[in-house]
Amino acid sequence: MMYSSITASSKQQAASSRTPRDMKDLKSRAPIAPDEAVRIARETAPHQPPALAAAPALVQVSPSPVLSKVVSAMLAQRFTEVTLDNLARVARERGLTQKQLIAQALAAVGVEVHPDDLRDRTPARRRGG
Amino acid sequence: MTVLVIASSKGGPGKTLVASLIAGSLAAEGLAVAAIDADPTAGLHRWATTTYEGPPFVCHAEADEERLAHLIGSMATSAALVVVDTAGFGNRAATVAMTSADAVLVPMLPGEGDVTEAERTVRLVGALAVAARRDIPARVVLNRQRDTTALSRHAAAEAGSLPRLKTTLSDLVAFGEVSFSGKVPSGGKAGAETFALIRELRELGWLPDARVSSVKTA
Repeated sequence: MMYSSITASSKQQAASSRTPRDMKDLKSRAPIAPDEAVRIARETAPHQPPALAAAPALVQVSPSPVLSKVVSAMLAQRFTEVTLDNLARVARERGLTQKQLIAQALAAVGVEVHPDDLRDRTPARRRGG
Repeated sequence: MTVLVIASSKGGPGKTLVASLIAGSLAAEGLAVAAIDADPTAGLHRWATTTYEGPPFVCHAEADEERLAHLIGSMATSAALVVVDTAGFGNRAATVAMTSADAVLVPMLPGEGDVTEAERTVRLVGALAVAARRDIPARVVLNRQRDTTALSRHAAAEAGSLPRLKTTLSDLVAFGEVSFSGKVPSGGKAGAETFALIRELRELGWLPDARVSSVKTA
């Protein structure tokens, strides 16, 4: 009997002293650290581009044509018309051939690209020259 | 103290207008307001520094996500309210801003694309809140509404599942004039809607009370 009354009393005390502060906040009310915000944003939406595109890396092209005897081969890939339209537009805007633009993009991500592929090798008759 | 981010992955729903109305209205109340323009087109920054005619508030332009995160953190320690305007497409700077936000406001026009992107933005805010283990509430505010048209009613119904403000902004010339006049509407229907917007955001606890903080920022 005594035991149960003590238990009840201690339970009452515990209940009366329990405040919202005893409960853990599952979500932080504090501002997030800047580096943490950047990390979470990148992990949550990894495919998003930067708001401001960085200037494209300049690809060094040797000024004189390289007379190579490298064997060339064809690569045919099927793309959507939208992508190809955009490829044509961006190449036109940058004054490059579509092949040059693709070669530059490959070089930019670390693919070793032969200098010939980075050069505009359009025959003069097709340039109107 | 409070970081309010104006965001939508859709371009042109009125993010810069809403940011201008909020920043200008609270600066007029004498609050220490800081605005950050995270949109590379820098429309808010241009407006605040060259056109705006009300009591001054600090405005920075920063679209790099890492510098933006630090700028938000630094501004939040000195200003009663930090308003961040973001670019109208899914981009890292906007996502960093939303992760740092205490609340996110998503303007939405009556249109299928706007409803879709508003839903996407609200979902992203939810995902960021979970990842950051922070409470980041988001609300959609309907902009350029014409209540008498079936289009506005239909768009509002389509956005029915999204958390929305009761306040809506009408399709008023007075709101368009803000970008050229540099004046936040204080009278007429536009003034009343601006006042209602501020009052509702304050009721949500998203804006500081004008009576508590009265320090002006140079």
